[in-house]
Amino acid sequence: MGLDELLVIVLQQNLLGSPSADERAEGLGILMEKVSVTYGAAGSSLGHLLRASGVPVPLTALLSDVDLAMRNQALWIIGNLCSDSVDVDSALTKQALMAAGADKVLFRCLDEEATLELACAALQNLCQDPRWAPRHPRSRQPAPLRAPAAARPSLRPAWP
Amino acid sequence: MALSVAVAWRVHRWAEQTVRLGAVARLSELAAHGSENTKKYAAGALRNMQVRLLEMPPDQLKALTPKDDKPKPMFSRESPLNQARALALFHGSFALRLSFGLGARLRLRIRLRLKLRLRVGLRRRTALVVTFPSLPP
Repeated sequence: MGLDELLVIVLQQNLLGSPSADERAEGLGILMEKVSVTYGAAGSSLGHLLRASGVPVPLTALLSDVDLAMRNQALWIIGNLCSDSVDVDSALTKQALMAAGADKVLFRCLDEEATLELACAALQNLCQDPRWAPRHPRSRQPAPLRAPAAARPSLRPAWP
Repeated sequence: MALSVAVAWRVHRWAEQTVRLGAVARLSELAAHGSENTKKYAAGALRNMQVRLLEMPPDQLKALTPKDDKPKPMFSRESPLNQARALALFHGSFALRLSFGLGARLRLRIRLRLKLRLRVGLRRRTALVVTFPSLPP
């Protein structure tokens, strides 16, 4: 069974929102694997699929999961889905996450030593303005001091 | 697909929400964290927020600040430090802010106090001269 088929099962069975910790972990693992190999047009399609399936809601809930590893995995997925290098329409994902109340949960991750690195990384991408990215040549060019620290940051290299 | 202005505007609600929920101070602390990655990401988040906040209209920026009904003294002990912090945040010198540790904060506080004392002293001296002019010879 391919990764795409597995992802469909994750979404159909709502594994991310499952009461079983094993199912949630399995769902997160498949989603991480999918996100880590997706770029360009496929990334845009993936973002659209995940938003249409309502994934931002269980992802937000996973930010306050009892399992630390799952909290970190959810942060990693959010950080990457909100990167323009993964999904050019990441602004819509940011909007969906805000609507799901991710802001209040995510800021709490800044107080925990074990999650703060990925929380900062996710926040960096969430606060990024796509209008400043170099792929929009017609947009207003920023002065060097005010340019975003990372125009299209991705968290992928940091993950083993 | 290029983002419409309306969608891009909503993206910035994250920057605004970071200010509203008081996470800026925490991010500033984390920008001096021991871990290189944490430091880098926290600084990046602050920089991205700064870009957004700088292009906001003043009335919207004002609306982001927490509302406090209590009247504040004009010369509060903390005000010069807070003003210096705000200047460091909104008028560049980002690298300076990254190394803005406890020692630097204490030094700044002492310098500001000395400056305030100096100003008060100068005013008193001037007032004395004006109030009691010397008699003509």
